[in-house]
Amino acid sequence: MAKVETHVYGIYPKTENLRKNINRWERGKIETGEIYEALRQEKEQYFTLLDENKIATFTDPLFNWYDVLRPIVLLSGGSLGPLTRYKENNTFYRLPEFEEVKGLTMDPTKNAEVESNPPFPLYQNAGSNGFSAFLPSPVTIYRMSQVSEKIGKSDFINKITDNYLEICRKFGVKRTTIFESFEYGNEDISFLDRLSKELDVYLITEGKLNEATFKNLGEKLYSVVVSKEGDISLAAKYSKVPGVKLLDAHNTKLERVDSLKKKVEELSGGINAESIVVTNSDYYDFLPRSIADRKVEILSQVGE
Amino acid sequence: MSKLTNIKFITQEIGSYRKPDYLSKKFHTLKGTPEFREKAEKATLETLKLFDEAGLQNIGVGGEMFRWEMYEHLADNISGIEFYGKVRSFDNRYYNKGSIVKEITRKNPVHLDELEFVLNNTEKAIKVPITGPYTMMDWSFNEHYRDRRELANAFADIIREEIRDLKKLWDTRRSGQLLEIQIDEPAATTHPDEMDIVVESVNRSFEGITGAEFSVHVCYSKDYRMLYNVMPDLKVDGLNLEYANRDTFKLGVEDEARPGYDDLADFADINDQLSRRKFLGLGVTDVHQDTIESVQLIKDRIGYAMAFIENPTNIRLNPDCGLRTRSREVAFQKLKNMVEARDLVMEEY
Repeated sequence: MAKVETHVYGIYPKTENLRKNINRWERGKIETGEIYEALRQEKEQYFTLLDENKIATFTDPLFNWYDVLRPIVLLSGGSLGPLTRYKENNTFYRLPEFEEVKGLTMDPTKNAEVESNPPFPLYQNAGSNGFSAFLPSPVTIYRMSQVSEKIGKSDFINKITDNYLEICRKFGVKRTTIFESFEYGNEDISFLDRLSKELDVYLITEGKLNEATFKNLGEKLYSVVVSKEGDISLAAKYSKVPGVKLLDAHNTKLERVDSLKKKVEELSGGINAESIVVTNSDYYDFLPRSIADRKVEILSQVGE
Repeated sequence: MSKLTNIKFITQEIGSYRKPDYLSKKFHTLKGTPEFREKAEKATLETLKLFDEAGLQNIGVGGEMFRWEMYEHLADNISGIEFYGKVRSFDNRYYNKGSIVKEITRKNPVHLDELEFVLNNTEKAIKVPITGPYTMMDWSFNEHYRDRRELANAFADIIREEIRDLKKLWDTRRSGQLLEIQIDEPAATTHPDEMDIVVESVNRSFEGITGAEFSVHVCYSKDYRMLYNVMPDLKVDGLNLEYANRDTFKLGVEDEARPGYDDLADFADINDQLSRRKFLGLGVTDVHQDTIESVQLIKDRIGYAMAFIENPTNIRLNPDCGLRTRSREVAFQKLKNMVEARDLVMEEY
């Protein structure tokens, strides 16, 4: 069986304690200093959970991100529009609105209050082994935002990518997890070349892939993570370590470890892969915390 | 303009209203106790009084003071659903999302006490909102049923059982009047390729029940045309929908001022082809903003809608959605202005 690289990414569900603390902070019942500390402690507990489960690579749990776009939007000069349904879920995000895309409007590594969102820093423990900087794909941001006609799509994507490079440099990270929320269609993802020159890029894709999407990529990414098992050969062709989403982040039903191991064996065997990245199908924030924790344990057992 | 007869422009609430602190702060700790009932009844009476003062014609069930949240209220009374914890809706707002772990069955009647109390305390028109089968399905984790259709239909069977009980009570108190049931389906248009499941499960939830009027409430849809398109198959008598949230605050009845209502032509096109036309509950006040729409603005919204709806008797007036999102004071003023706008329109037409 191929070596399994376990990867956990994206917004992780908060504990009830943290939810209550944030609620108190929102209502002005506790000081910002206290919410910094609550966030720091909860993030530490999360990293301990991952450590105990020997998760190989992971992102910040993003407990202080109100949605997957908001901090990046605020850092890039966008504003927050009305609540908008996220895909087909009963969850909502503030529609980003861009009149222009600015360079980083503040230092994401520092403690700071930001608009309509718990305070920064953007990430914690960025220097630890296995840490990967979670960043929503610029393509996803573009598709989920209202962007002024003055800004061309490629210009938008390039400027967000500039900001991503800056963020990763400031935090000194070695890898980034680029989260794509939609099926690509005919998107050009060559902007990733600029990131992959400096970083190991884990590209979390969504839906069916097609070869045309990758044709302009200069070099292989570190990992292309697919949601359709049939696309694993494309992932093998365009990345050093192909990846697959096997833990369902939209259902509380717990996966069986033996079934997952069998699946990994089949997939990696079919492409003669020495290693394979195994991760969640979406960020775990769609699940109750207790279930997300169990899924991390299951993932850990797949990696054993 | 000529006077039209038979126009009612019934003013109605959609469902929820902000609970007084004495109820909301102790809701979960007191639930199931005599003290809870006492507080829920007190809050209902106070809300009914407010609705009276605002001049509302259909008072719903007095602001849903017996209910905390639309999903949980029904799910709590169904066996086969496990709650593992809350999930995020947006920002730092969370809700309990159940997991369907085995076949679902109703444990006990859910809305009967509430309806009985309201019947005991008003002679006004009542409308009972019940969370619909498709939304219950869509907002649950499905660990048991084969697919989404099967689960939606299982919820429909439970809701039908519930409506039958409500109808029995209703007939002992208001025999000869139609029981009004509003099936709340905010998720109805979130999966465009599943509109057939919406239609099938909603119809199934009141199949075989006569002597009642059924409406469906949908809000914050990306495109109501999906719903309009299935109107011929959807066996409800009317749609109560949100429009004001997508509209402007500009006065006037021109297209530019009224973008929130720009798909009413599509509604009318389809509705006019039906042998039995459906009424439209027009959302004329936004429940997500404290800004209180002026009487003139609401009147303009109604006036704009009337240009599309050939028979104005088919229009009812309501807030976009439940008003629990606003303070009781702001919500009251919104309802009051809605009623005043309606009265002005009635005078003109």
